[in-house]
Amino acid sequence: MTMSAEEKTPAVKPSRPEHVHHGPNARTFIKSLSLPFVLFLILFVLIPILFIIYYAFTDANGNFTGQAFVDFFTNTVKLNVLLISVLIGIFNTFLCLLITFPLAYLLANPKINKNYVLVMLFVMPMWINFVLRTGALRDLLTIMLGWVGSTTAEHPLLCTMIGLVVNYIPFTVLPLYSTMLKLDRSQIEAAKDLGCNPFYTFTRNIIPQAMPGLVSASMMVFMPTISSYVITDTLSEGKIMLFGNSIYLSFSYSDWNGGSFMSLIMLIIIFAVMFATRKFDRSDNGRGVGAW
Amino acid sequence: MNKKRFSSLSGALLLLTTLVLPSCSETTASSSDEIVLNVYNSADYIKEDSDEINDESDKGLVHQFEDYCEETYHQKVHINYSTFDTNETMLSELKTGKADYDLINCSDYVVQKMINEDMIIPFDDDSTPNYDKYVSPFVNEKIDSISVNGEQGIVGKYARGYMWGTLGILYNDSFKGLEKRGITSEEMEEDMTSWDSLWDPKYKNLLSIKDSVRDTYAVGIFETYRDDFTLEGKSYKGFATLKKEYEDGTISEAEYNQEITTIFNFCDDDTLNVVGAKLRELRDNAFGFEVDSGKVDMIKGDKFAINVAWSGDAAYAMDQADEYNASGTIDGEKVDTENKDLVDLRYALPETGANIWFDAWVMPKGANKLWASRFVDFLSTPKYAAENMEYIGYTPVIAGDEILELVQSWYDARYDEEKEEMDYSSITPEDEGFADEYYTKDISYFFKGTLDELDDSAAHFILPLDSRNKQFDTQYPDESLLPHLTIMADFGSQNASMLLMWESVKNTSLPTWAYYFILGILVLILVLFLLLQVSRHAVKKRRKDRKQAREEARKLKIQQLKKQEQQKKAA
Repeated sequence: MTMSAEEKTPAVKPSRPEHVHHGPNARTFIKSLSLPFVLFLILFVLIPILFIIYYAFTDANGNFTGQAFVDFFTNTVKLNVLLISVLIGIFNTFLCLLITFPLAYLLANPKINKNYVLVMLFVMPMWINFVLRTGALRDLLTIMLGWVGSTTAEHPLLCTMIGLVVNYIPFTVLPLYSTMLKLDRSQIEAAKDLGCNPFYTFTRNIIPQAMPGLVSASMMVFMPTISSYVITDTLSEGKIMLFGNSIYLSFSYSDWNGGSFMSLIMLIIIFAVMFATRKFDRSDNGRGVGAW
Repeated sequence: MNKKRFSSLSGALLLLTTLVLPSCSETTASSSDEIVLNVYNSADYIKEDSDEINDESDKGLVHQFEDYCEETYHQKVHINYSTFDTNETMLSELKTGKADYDLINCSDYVVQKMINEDMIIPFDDDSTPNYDKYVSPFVNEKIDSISVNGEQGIVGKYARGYMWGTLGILYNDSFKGLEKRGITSEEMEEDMTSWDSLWDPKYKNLLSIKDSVRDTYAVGIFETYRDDFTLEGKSYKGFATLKKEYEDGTISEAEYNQEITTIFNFCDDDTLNVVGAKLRELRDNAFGFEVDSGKVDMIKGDKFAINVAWSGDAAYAMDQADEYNASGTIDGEKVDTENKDLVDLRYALPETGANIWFDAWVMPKGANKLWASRFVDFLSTPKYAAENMEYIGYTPVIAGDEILELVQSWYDARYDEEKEEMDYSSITPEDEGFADEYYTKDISYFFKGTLDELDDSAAHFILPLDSRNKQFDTQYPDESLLPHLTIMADFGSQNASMLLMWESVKNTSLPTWAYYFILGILVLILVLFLLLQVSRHAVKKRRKDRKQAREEARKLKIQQLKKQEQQKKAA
């Protein structure tokens, strides 16, 4: 296919490849390159979602029913689990951003950090299996809490939060770092020169510029936190239940329909969050200034 | 009810595996004269090949059976052996028709459920002669006591037992936190014979419970209905009262066991509510929930002192703890030696009732009956059952000479390690000072009628005193405890309600003010958002107005200019 495309296209100067006129064959060829991805999407994203929707609105015998819907919204326990998950998700996102924002700012400053390896060091924990990491953290917390005469069992929320933050920080470092690299430092300097105080420089200049990174970092943390269950199971000793735990519980006790409906709720939340933040993503190349 | 419920992780793959599995089970191509038997079992629940195979006994039981068939029946048999994580996974695979097996190993309540839902076929009479001969009469009686739809003895037709055990309390009476709280090991040993102690604030944060509905519900109901209670206007005797009546001789052993089994299996909505409330209290008193990590934490002895455990896990943990105490290593790996000798694990079965369970083989519809029965019968031969027991550490339902000999070699004080046989005359109860060093225990209840060459007296054990409540007592409970053991039936239609109860136990609720606080914040955000919209709108409007005013002013000016020009022209 490439051969025929090359034969048909008129001779071009190799020095200016952007002027190549692609024939219709070449265009279909380029389009066909996306085929594997489309196939992947259909097989592993679309079909599973259809399965989820199917199970969410049928009963155990496969008849159409809205029972899972009614069950979910009339069950205070499940709603409470969702609420708690959202709260913990927000809190975790906030903590992760709070810690990584200054870090990424410093790492991206060429005067302070000339070495990309340093960035990789912060991402490195991701390379270790996270069940292993969580298990190790549990032992570490046991020892550390032992120093103050306490145990992990007495502080399930504290331990879970530490675990979540430790696990999700690597996910926020990279997106923030890459936006920070693109920061227009002359703007910041200009703000300083024109007498803007540091606080306003930060809120009116740096944050708007870093907004796309902040949004994608939040997305990387918020939803996975809600659906995570190994971390909460291990570090809270099973005492804190997130939405992910609840879904897992449904599936492990053969309540596929209830579990699917809860997964559907998760999907809806994901789409809602994506919809709410879509304008920040688009303004990526506009340096985020247009975001406000 | 076996240890294979663990690994919460693997459950997440449930969706994936069910999609992939069907292809796995059909992979092995077979020649027409080869019989393929599809066997489905919990993971790590059968003897497997050793790393180095020198003779037949180094082989796993699956391969030994294949060789055995070749030799005895001159028939090539291939066993297609696959494993599952939880009974629930297996059930949903079977129900959705994604799995096609000849033989499945599952827990007691699953057998019941499968009979109820007409998923399995019965074994033929006399199709498993070895099993019939060597199965322990005690376990067999328990199996027959389960009733399905009011019909008793039916489980024995559909299922052949495999392993059995109890659910009890594994505790470490030399845990370092105990001293600080002023709890002595004698006191603890005493306390652990009652479920009540798990609710005792003196053990707060020192105990871990099972993260599994059935097991923790069992603990909950023993505690909830310990005293007399009324349910739907009817009054019942509690477990403690029944025990007293049994000990007084007011009711017979059979009646007593019947009564506690009935109460133990209550799972109506009212019961779920009270047990749920009781379990929430337990949760607050507990260190946490676990399914699999509990054993390792007990062995290391650094997190909690009490663990609700299955007997097989308990025996495994004790073995490991002994090794740890002796060498400071777990599974050959060096661990923190500061805690050395701090681990002394023991196992107790509360006397106000405890749960006994067994796992069994069943044949789904369409199974190859003949060869499936032959495989079960092979596994039930004492020789192979003993190999299995030695390898996986659970107690088989099979009795017989080989099993008794194996148990003797492990535990009896009179076993001569050098000669590798029992020396019955070395220690006798008549010896001077016997009671200070040894105790006797009779487990002939288990071996009655199954012994060929040995006689029942061989099941009278003599053991060192400090092995009380250790491995041997864990694997074979005292005869005096047997009436207190009861089987938990399938919850049937109450499964969904049970799940909701469980979720409410594990759910973290916030204090009421927190909900109002959240509501307040939400309202505040909404109001701010609206205000912002309104103010934006106002600003826009003002701009628009101003723009309009400016336009008008300009138009006016143009008109004026025009007028002036016209006036000039006219002039």
